[in-house]
This record gives sequence, C-alpha cells and structure tokens, in this order.
Amino acid sequence: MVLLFFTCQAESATIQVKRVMQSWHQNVLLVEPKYNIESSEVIDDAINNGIELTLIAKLQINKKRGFWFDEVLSQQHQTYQIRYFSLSGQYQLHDLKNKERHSFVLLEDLWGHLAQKTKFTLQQEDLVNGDYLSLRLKLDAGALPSALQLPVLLSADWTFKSDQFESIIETKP
Amino acid sequence: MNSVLRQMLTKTVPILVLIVALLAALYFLIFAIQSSDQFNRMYLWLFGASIIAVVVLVLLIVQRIVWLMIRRKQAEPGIQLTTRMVVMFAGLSIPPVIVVYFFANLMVTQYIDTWFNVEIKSALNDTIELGQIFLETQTRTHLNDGKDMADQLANIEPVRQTIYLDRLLDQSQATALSLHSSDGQLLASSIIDPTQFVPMLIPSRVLNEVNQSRNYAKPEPIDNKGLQIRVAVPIETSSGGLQLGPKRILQAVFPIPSKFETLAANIETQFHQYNKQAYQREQLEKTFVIILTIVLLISVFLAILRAFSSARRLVAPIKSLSEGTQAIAEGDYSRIIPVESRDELGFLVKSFNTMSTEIAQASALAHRAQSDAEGQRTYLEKVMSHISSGVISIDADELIRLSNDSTNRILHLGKQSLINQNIDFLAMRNPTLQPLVALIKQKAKDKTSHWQQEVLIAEDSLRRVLLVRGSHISSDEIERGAHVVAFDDQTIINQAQRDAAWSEVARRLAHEVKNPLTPIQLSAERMLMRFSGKLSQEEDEILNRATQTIVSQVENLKKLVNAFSDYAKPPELKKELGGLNVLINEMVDLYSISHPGIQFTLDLIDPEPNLLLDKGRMTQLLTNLIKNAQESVKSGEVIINISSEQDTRGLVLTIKDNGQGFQQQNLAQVFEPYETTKINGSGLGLAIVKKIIEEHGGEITVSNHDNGAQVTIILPTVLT
Repeated sequence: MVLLFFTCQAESATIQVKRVMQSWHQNVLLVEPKYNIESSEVIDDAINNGIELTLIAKLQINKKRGFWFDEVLSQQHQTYQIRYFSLSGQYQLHDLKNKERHSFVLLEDLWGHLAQKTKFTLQQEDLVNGDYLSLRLKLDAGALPSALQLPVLLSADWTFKSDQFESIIETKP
Repeated sequence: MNSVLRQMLTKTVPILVLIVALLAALYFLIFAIQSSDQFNRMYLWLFGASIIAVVVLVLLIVQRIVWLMIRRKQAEPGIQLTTRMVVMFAGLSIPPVIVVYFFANLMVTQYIDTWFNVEIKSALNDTIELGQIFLETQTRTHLNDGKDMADQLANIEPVRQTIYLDRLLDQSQATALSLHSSDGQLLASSIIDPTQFVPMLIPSRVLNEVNQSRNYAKPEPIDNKGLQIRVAVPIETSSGGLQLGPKRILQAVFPIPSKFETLAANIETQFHQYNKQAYQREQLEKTFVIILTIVLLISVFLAILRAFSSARRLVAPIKSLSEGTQAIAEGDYSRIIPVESRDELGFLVKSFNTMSTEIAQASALAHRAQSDAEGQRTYLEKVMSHISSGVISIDADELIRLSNDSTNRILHLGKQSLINQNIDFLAMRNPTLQPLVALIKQKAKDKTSHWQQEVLIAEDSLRRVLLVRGSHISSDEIERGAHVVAFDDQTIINQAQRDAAWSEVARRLAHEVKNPLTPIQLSAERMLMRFSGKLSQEEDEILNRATQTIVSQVENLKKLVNAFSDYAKPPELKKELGGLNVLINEMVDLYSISHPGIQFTLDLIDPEPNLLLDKGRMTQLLTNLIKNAQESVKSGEVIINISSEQDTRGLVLTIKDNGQGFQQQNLAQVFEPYETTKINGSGLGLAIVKKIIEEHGGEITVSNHDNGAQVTIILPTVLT
C-alpha cells in the first residue's frame, strides 16, 4: 500500500518554479521564471491520443494589505498549447501570445523547452506601488474537453500546476 | 425573534439558495449550448451549480422528513394524511422518472458505443500507417537528394558554395537550401519564394544530430498549414579536396506534394478526432451518466419537495378542521378557520365555520340560561342558609332535593349533605328523628296541602319540641310534584313560657299562702297560752300536741312558700370576676363540719379560669346540688366527688354522688318545677339550679354514672 502510494506519487505530474530571474533593461523589468516540469503517464497518454493541453503562465503584481487579501495591481498571462501530430510523430508547442510554434520529437524536449521559455516584461510604472510579484504555471482544465474536466478535477494524476511562487520585486539599479 | 430567525434559516434561506443555484445552472446552460468551446468553459460551473442545487434539495427534504417524524411523534392532527399524501405523490412521480433515466442511460451508452467500431479504427490506423510509409519514402528520397547536393558542394570551394547553392535549388525539389557552420550559424541560403523570406535557422536538435556525424531527415509540421521534410547533412570534403575552415552543414527543406498534403491533413485531423473521442469514451459515458443522474436527482427531489408542499397545502384545511372539531369538543366555539380556497374543501371549511358559529350562539344562550339558573340557585341557597328554620323538600321518590344549614343544626345531623338522600336517611343518622320522618312521609304520601304539627324529640336528658309545617307542591307546578317542610325548635320557647307560667304560679302561691300563715301560727300559739293548764291533763296534752302540729306545719309551709318565692324572684344578679374554687372549698368546709358523714373528693383545676359569677346565687346552686347528693344516699357513707376542668366550651364542673341516681324515665323532666321523687321535696331544687346556670349563660345536663348520679355544668370563661 505504501509502495503503491509512493508509486502514485512518483508518477504524478509536477510543475515547480525553480527560480525567477529578474533583470532591468532601461525601464523594463524582464522576469524569467525557470520551471521543472514533469508530466504523468496519464497526461502523456492524453496528449498522444490527440487531446490538446493548454498551460497558462500567470504573473501578478501585488500590494500587501493588512487584514485582507492582497491587492492585485496588474497581471499578465501567457498561454501555451501542446498538441501531438501522429503522422509526423511530433509534438508541437504553440505560444498563443507570440504565435510561435515549435516541434519536438520527444515530449520531454517540449517540457524542457517550455520550462525555459516563459518571459514577462513589466513596465516600471506598473511596479511603482507593487510589493511583490507572484507567478504560477498551470494546466487550464476549462480548455479540456468537457468529458475530461471532472476527472481532471478529481484525479491526482491530472494535478498539473505549480504552487504560487512569490518574489520581491527587484529595485532598479 | 428566534422563531423568525429560525424560519429564515430553515426555510427561506435554503429555498433562496436553491432558486439561485437552479437559475445559475440555467444561465450557464444557456451560455454553454452556444458552442462546444463555451460548453467546455461553462461545464464545471454548470456542474457545480447543479450539485449545489442537489445538496440544497437533499437538505430541504431531510429537514421535511425530520419535521414529519417529529409531528408524527407528537400525533399532530392531519399528520397521518400528510405522510400518506407525501408517499403517494412521491410514489407517483418517482417511477416514471427512474424508468426514463434508465432508458436514457442505456440509449446514450449504446449510442456512444456505436461511434467506436473496430473497422473505423483499423481503417484509420492503416491510413495513418500508409501516410507514414509515404512520408518515410519521401524523407528517404529527399535525404538522398540532400546527400547528393552535399557531395556536390564538397567538391566546390567554400567561397563559391554560396553561388552554387542557387543552382542546386533550381536543380532540386527543395524549397529552401541553407549552409550553416558547425555551430549553427547561417552562412548562406537560397529560397524559391523570396517574398516569403524567413531566416533559415537550423533547430538545435538538428544541429546536435548532424554534429554527431548523423544525417537528419524528418517530416515536420509547418505551423498549422501542413508538412514539410527537413534534411540536414554534413558537407564532407573529398579525400583530395582542401578542407578550409570548420565543417559545414547543408540544410534543405522539401515540400510535400500538395495532393498528399491535403489528404494527409484530413487523415490526421480525422485520426486525431477519432483518437480523442476514443480516449474520452469512458469519461464521456460517465459524464453523460453523471448529467443524467443530476437531472434525475433534481427532478426526483423537486417532485418530493413538491409532494411535501402539496400534501401540506391539501391537508392544511383538514388539519384546521380537525383542530376546530377538537376545540368544539373541548367547549371552544370561537375557533374560525380561514377559508383559503374556493373548492370543495373551502366549502367544507365555510360550512364548518357556520356550524361552529351557530353552536357558539346556542351554547351562549344555554350558558346564559344555566348561569341564570345557577344564580337563582345560589340566591336561593343563600336565602335558605340565612333562614333560622330548617327547610327541606322531598320529591315523589322521597329524595331530599333541598336542604339548608338550619336543618342540620336543628336535627343534630352534623355537616353532612342531605341532598339526594332518602328522607329515611335522617332517621338513620339520628334515630330520635323517627317520629319526624314518619310524619313527613305520611304527609307527603297523603299530599296534604298545608299542615302544622308539634313533634316531640326525646334525646337522653333532652326533650325537644319541633314545630313542623309542611306544604305539598303539585305536579302542575313542579315535575312529579314535591313536598316542602319547614320546622323550628320550640323547646326554648316552650321552656320560657313554662318558666314564666311557673314563676307566676309560685309568686301567686307565695303571696296567697304566705299571708294567712302568720295569723294561723299566732292564733295557735295564743290558744296554747290561753288554755294551757286550764284544761284537764288529757285535754291539755291534746291541745299542746295540736298547736305544736299547727306551728310545725306552718313552718313547713313557710319554707315551701319561701322556696316558691325564690324561684319566682326575677334575677338581680351581681356578677363579679372570680373563680368557683373558693366557693366550692368554703361549701365543702361548712358541710364537713355540719355533716361529718359526708366524704368529699375534690379534683379542681388550678389555676382556674376567670368567670363572671354572682357568688350568692352560685353558693345557692352548690348548696342545692350537695344537698341533693347527700339526700340521694339512703344509707351508708355519702361520697361526693367534685371536679372541674377547662375545654373549648368553658369551665366544666362535674358533681358525682354514690346515691340512687336519676330514674331513667324522669331524666327528661328533672329540671321541671315540682318534679321530685323525695317525700318532703318541693321539686324546685334542680329547677332553681337550672335557672341560675341559665342566668350565667351556661348549660347543665344530668346523667347517671356506674354508681350514682352525675350533674355536669358548663360555665363560660372570661378572657382578661
């Protein structure tokens, strides 16, 4: 039973925010999160069976409030679609924001590419009142076919999202 | 306040949540059905709203079931009918819904199964495999083309390779050719359509492959437009050639024939669609089952909820009628049930209200009549209780229907109620009343209209005379007729009249007899003085004896006359506060000296209560009683016992002797004047005693004890 538990844990999908790099370029702050993405067999199986996955990388600039939820000053998000082409046997990562497509023979390559890919640019004026930024990368369950939405909601194998990563906004040098 | 809050929490809020959840579900459904993408986006919200609705419905139904069970336990009117109707409504609505649910479930499952059959899947797999074989062939061909071109370029000087690249593009089927350094840097490129110029970059994965001395040739998707074959081969210099600078890479991109591209795109799209559906098949079936189940649950629960509501609404007037009937049974005729419908139940409620109003009016009239009768009866009882005469009425069955307090008092019957008792009950309670009962029964039987008669009631030492008057009430006046009897105790009146008569007799006797006695005595003494010694001795003795007789008899007559005079004397009492003990002790001392043969035994209360006494009259009373006691003992020692005690009535003085006692037949007349058993008695001793006691407001009774007579006197005490 314990073994089964650990097996299940090992097979479950994970997204972790390894680090967030911030660098100023004139009046623009470039935020580059680096992820560790590992999909589960169930997710791989779904992609190989033609299910399109949508992942959303989301960044928020927050202002702390004493006894209430923190105020969200601004937010950005980037949407990625992952799709499998059976004829060519390749996986495609589609960046909906930049309209970029990248093909990969192996799914691991795709995850590796995505882990390094997301970038957010923030204008200096958007950061004036902000205390910290938070970001996360997660599977958009609502974009899945309706038949899969309930299992995704209830199954641990489909828990494909990072925790909310919070970081102090680096001041401009 | 609490009940309002409770009603809000248990009724209003859940119903509002239910309505909001159902409206939200409807709202999401309207949006969801607009497109499949919208449906996907709204699906979870729709599902959540439906689940909330189901949960709220379950809570509401559980709450109503609990309510029903509690009411059943309390045996609330109409609850049995409510339960039956709820079960009936639920029983009517649930089976069709369940049947539809099972059929729909079956049909949906079977319908989904028909989407996926082996032939289609096999055909699609074959098609994909065929396409893959074609692509492999194409890839292999273009790889060879790429190798040929790389060989050609290997024999050309690097400086000219850029120019030669355009020639190779013209000679080959490639749409773009590019030369890259081993680190991927673009050295030269040639493109068929310059208008669609994009920098020919070499992907890192391709570069890695080639740098490992492997050729790269793979089909790849072009955005969303179709496929192309990318080939990358290293340019190997020939053995005799000159290797200038680092190794170079030729990259070529070959198009797929347009006919094949269209077909391939279609095949891939359909294969994807099929695979996607096949993958979701199980989930799809589950989703349909879940949706159907939620729809079923909402339908069933709404039906049950409606069953509760309908049952309560239908039963409400019946419950009100039941409560109204119970209220009428308990005497509350004021209950008016609100008429809430115009159907048959409404008509029934209306009729009930009319009936209860009429009953209330009739009851009010009856109540008023009863109240009047009660008032009359109370009034009569009050009047009767204040009448000093005893009054009873008996019906045709000789049952006492009316009796007042004076009846019990006069007839010495205690406080027991005589109402509804037979007239014989009086004689049973007090046997001395037998003559009275017999008289009443006789008169009632004879239906004597008006009569009056004295009845003598003999109770031990007490002889009482009742003056009884009666009248018959005919059956015309009272149902079955009645006999009313009134009576008064005439004993005291008779006694007073008798005392007055005796006093008058005594006064006249004393007046008429006393006056001639002195001349008689003087005449006899004068005769004795005149003729004494002048007659012969024999005649002198006769004279002497005769005059002595006359004188002694006159003395006796004087005593008698004085006794009568004392009896007839009107009371001139001089009452003083004091006690009897001193008088008794003085009297006992006096008698002990003058009559040594009398043995007195005293047992007197000490300290004694205060009494208002005329000492002279009391001394006379004690003298009379001690003298009577002394005279009642014919022979032997005279023992007189005098004792006193106090009880609620006053001071009780008891004088007992060891004489012959009273004759039983004379007990009732011992206090009558001139009643005596003694030879020389005047018959006034006890009469005077009784008179003195009455003058002091006391009571006297006589009786016999085991060994002689007993006189008991009760004198009122005075509180100081």
